[in-house]
Amino acid sequence: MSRESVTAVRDSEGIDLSAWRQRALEFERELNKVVVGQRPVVRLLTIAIFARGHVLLEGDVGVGKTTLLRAAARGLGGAYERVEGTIDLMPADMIYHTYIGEDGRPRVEPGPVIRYGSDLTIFFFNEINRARPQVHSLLLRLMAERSITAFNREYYFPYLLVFADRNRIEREETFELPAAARDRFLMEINISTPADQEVRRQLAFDARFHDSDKLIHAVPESILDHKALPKVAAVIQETIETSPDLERYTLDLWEAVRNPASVGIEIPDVEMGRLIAGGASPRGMSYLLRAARVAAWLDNRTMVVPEDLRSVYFVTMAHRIFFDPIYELRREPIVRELCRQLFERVPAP
Amino acid sequence: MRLMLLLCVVFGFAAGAGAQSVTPSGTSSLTVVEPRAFGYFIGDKLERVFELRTGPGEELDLSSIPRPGPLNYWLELASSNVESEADGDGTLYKLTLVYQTFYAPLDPRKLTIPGFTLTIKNAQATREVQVRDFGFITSPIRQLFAAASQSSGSAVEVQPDAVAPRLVTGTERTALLISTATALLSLVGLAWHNAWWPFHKRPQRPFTDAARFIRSNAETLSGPRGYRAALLKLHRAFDLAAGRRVLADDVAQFLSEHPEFAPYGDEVRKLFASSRRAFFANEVEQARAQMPLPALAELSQHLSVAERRAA
Repeated sequence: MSRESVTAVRDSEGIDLSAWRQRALEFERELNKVVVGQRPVVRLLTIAIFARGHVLLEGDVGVGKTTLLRAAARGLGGAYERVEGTIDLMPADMIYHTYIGEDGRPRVEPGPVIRYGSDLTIFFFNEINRARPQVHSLLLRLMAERSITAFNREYYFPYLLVFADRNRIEREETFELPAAARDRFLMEINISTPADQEVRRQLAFDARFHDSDKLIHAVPESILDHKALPKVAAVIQETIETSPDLERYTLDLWEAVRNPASVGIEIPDVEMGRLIAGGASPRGMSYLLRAARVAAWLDNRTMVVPEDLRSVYFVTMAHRIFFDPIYELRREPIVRELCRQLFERVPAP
Repeated sequence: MRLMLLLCVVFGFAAGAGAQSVTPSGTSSLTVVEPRAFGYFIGDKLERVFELRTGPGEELDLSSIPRPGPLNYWLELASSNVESEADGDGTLYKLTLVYQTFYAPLDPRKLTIPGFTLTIKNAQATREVQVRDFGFITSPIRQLFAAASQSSGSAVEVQPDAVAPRLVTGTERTALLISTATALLSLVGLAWHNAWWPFHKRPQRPFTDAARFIRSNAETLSGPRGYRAALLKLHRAFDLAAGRRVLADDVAQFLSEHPEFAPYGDEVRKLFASSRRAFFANEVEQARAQMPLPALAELSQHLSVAERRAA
């Protein structure tokens, strides 16, 4: 689509991308006030929201994962629902709410997922790896198709974004997410304790950060209009261009991640020929480009450049690359090194 | 006088050598100077000289002169040489034939060098001059059987080889030493130039290569495709200099890691901006307007100088 026709589409839909960009930046500013020292994470979260992708946050306990997601939900507006992953949570518990009524008769009412109907904007799944695989399976359809069947009818959630978090400290009574479920998350963002001394001092001593409820309430509600987001996201995807050179570069990256030895990537103590077992799915590549277009738009550009791909590559692709089992235990350092060398080796443009 | 002539003839026969004059028919005359007719051993050479005087309008048919080469199993014509000069109204030919005998006689023996025919031609006709055979006596070098009284083999043993004379080779040796040293120095220089071992760790000069590429291909790079090729060459130079791929956002870090290029920071940023337009915004023409090829060439030249200065 040429630039002129994109302008026409934008005008016809009444979407002003530059105004939306200002709103997105304001949204970022507000989140950065709540969660300090996590600017890259906030930027990635903003990209995910405008790419209409689900996000999985992982990291240590108490680094602000939940706070960040709650604050983002408030900034987005719309209906918000939250579920705690527990080992006895079953799929029906998410869809139906069952109880004994005052008259002593059993009652079934809509559960957390369908309670708000199609107005549901944020579904926040806390500690997702504590839930059983049955629950993960339910999520597959909810995330991929934004729909669910309950009470013998279909429920659609056009504005839905699933935010989930998990901590990587303990593995007891947890269930690893199946690859299919992980593939449906646009991004898997790792959040760690800020390294900056001043930020650490603030977090420890500034009373503002001690009460997370109060902190989150400082975020203005509905900075972004959640109902307009799908349309804005579509316009962004249509407006931001990718040149043939960038497309070739992206394909080179794809080829290189499937065959790292071909571009001379070397990781100590890793036999590069057998490292990659699979992954880097076509869905992953399309998610990568979606996120890269939003990154370019937030950077006030109309074209995607390799830097955009680099900025979102790790969070969108790392969880879709599957290693030989012998290397899975050392996954984190290897995948980080692999992605870093990928951008150091594949020639751009 | 007659006595003198007689004495000469007698002496000549006794010596076995002498001049023999044949006067063939016509106006030409042949004088033969023969060698001595005895006292030859295997390997000795005999020189026969013929002086042929031809009349006016006549000339010797050179093809009738014997050619060098083996004549039979023991005799070889080693060389054949003819010279001519004017003599009055005729011509005087001086023909020198050198024969070599390889005959190993068991006793003194007379051998014969066969004669031959010379052809003289003039405008009308040819005629022939016959050269006679020449007989000579050859002898064995040593006695065939040692006498019983002689110590064994004293007469038959071969004398030791003479010591080969030593050549003076001072000049050649000096020349060899100088040229070897020159060759080694050139090899070292070539190895350094091509970054062969042990100079393989010599820092590469990617910007010098890029500058050379752009300078020497200025003609072919003038179009939009060429402009992209020039940009790519410079990108690869940045990649090589940094040891990784350098994107536009990495320029600041690159310049801080390589301060030698910092003075050209603005130009480098402009280059990356043009490259972005050319490759990712499909705006090659605008990129060329922003930073035309001569500016690229100039920047690569500057970076090349900075690179060499820093090395």
